[in-house]
Amino acid sequence: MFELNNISKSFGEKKVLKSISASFSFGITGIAGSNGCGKTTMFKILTGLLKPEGGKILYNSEEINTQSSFWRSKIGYLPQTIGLYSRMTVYDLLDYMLVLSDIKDKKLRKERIDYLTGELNLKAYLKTPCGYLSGGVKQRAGIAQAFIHDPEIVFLDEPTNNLDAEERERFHNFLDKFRLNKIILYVGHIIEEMGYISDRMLIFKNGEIVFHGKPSDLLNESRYSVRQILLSKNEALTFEPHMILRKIAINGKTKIIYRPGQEEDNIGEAAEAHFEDVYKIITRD
Amino acid sequence: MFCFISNCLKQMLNYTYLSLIFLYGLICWMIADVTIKSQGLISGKEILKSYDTIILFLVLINCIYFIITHFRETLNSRIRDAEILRLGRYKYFWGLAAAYFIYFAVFNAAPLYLTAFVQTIVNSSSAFYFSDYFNALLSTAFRAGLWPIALSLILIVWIKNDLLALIVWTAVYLTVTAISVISGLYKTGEGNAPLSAVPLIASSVISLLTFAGGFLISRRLTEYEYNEKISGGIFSLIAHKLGFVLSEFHYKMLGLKTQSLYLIFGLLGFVFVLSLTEGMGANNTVISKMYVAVFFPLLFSFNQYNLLAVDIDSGMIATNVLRKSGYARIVLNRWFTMLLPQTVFAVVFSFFIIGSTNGLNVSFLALVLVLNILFSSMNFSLSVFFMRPGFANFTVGFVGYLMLREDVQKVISSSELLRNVNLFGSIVSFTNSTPSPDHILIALCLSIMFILPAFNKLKRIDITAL
Repeated sequence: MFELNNISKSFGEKKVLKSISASFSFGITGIAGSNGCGKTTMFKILTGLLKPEGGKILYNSEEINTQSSFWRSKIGYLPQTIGLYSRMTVYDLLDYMLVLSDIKDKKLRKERIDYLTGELNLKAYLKTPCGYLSGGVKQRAGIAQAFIHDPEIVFLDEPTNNLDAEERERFHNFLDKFRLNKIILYVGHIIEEMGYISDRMLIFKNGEIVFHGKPSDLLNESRYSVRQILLSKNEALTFEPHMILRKIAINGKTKIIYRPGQEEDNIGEAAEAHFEDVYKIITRD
Repeated sequence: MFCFISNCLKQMLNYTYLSLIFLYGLICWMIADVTIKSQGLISGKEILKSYDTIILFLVLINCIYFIITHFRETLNSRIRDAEILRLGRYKYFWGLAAAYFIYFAVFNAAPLYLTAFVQTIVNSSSAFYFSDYFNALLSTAFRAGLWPIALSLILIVWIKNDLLALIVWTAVYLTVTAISVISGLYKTGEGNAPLSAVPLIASSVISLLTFAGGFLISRRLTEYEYNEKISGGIFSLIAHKLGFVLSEFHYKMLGLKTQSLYLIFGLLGFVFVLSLTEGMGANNTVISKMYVAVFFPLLFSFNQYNLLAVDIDSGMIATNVLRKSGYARIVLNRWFTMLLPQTVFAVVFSFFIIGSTNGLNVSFLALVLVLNILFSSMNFSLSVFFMRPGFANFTVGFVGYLMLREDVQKVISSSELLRNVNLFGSIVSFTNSTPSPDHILIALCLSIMFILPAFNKLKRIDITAL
């Protein structure tokens, strides 16, 4: 288990993280927030790539140096953009990452590579140089390198970028296997999927954590109730835009899921809120 | 455990201490005209007799002071408790002991031997016989030092069973001792004098004690660091430790495309120079010397920035920085990996030139090698600090050009001090002047001076600024 204790960070005048605190235990924590709200900065601080201006990071209640080799051996990291070495094959790349993680036994390295490439559907690309891989396969190879040394804590910054629906599903099944023995922090933008896969969710807004808890708590809160109304396309165009949470096309009409602003907005009927609706309500407020 | 020991060493090895050791070596060098017999070079007593005892004592005190300070700070540190929790109390204190032993041996005793060794070679190279030196070194090392430790380490890594390792070691030990005693008696013909075996028995006791220490340390180390089975055995382990396994990947990653291109240019230049040397008389020896000692290393030193750019361009820098190995070590291994083929070609070319001209000797070959290292390290360091290839390439090229200019060489040769440290004097000389060991030492020191700050900078590289 590890904790953030009053972590803050600014870039020039802009305060990117405003004294945030959170604790993470085994399982998947989905992290969401609008662009530039501090998610990646938090990841960089947690991985030791950036130093915080204030606050502490505790691992099993001990303050740790995030730039120590002890911490580096504990973590795996998938950055937001990953390119991979174009000349190296997928197998060599993963083997190289294992050697850098100080795993000397070749047999053990091969076992790890075999296991992960099987899980992430990469077997067919083992001998392909990374420069020839498509975006989705590259992303999967990136995910594999984050898990390859069997780290206790994994930071995944938008891991489903470039993955098609089937591969996203496979990736979520893959994550499921580590729910009990790894601390996985997962930044993403497909809120619906994150809501279902995560054990806990953390929502950022302007450098602050505005929600930290179970995803089911989000849906159960009455203050996040939503309504729906079926309108013609033209009527839908005139609907108050800041109230709209989602639009669904049904038989030439548009179903609008919205959050009523005031009493008189309570037209239509009560609807079941989705994670995406609640997320939008939280980040807009 | 190794991480812990290296961390302790890092904490103790600051610039102050390194400067002091360097200064002490320099003072020893300057105030004593040391010439020790080849066999005596490994004897602490011989060396102590030759150098100023007070200076050596001060340096020893300095070393002990650093150790005591570190120990006191470690005991007071909050981190200690966390480290003990992770390592266990026994391993923790063994680790500290090992770190202090290495610190003393490598950073206090070794510079002393090295200074005496180099100075003896410089002062009386004609009276110095490597065979004598190695015989003495081997006999000491194998009798009392290295072999019991090496054997115990191998046994423990391979057998992974303390008791069995101890039995095998004892059997080997008894056999070797018996053979030594018997052969000693036979050679001296003093079969009636049992006391003649005393020195051998004494050295065997030392061996036993060394073994006991080595056994305990290696057992502890293997328990912690090598508890995973290593499929390639001890050789695989050594390959890992020396970074050869990493080098293999770095060849694959960087490709030999650039190196091959440099080699083509290098070969073209070499053929041209060789044709000049053979066809136009001995005066062209200077051109061939300049080519192989300066132009060739300059050519291969270019674009050291590529060693970093490969990570930056592929977006892999963060993933590398966050690995256990440490980014500085990774990049330094790449530098070394790329330096190897260059030095091999430099040696081959030099042999050809030495073969075709009579004026060059082996010390010139050594100079070629160290200049290859020097130019490469200079470009590497500048690339790391300025994070762009152009400036580094230009500066290194300019330095090379400047040092070969006749007017610059004239200015240098007008001052005795500059003349003594001029690495390029023997290259531009039309006579058969040869580089001295001092020049080789200076080039090596300069290379280290370039590499160390670059290494330090890479350890703290701010990848968010890239």
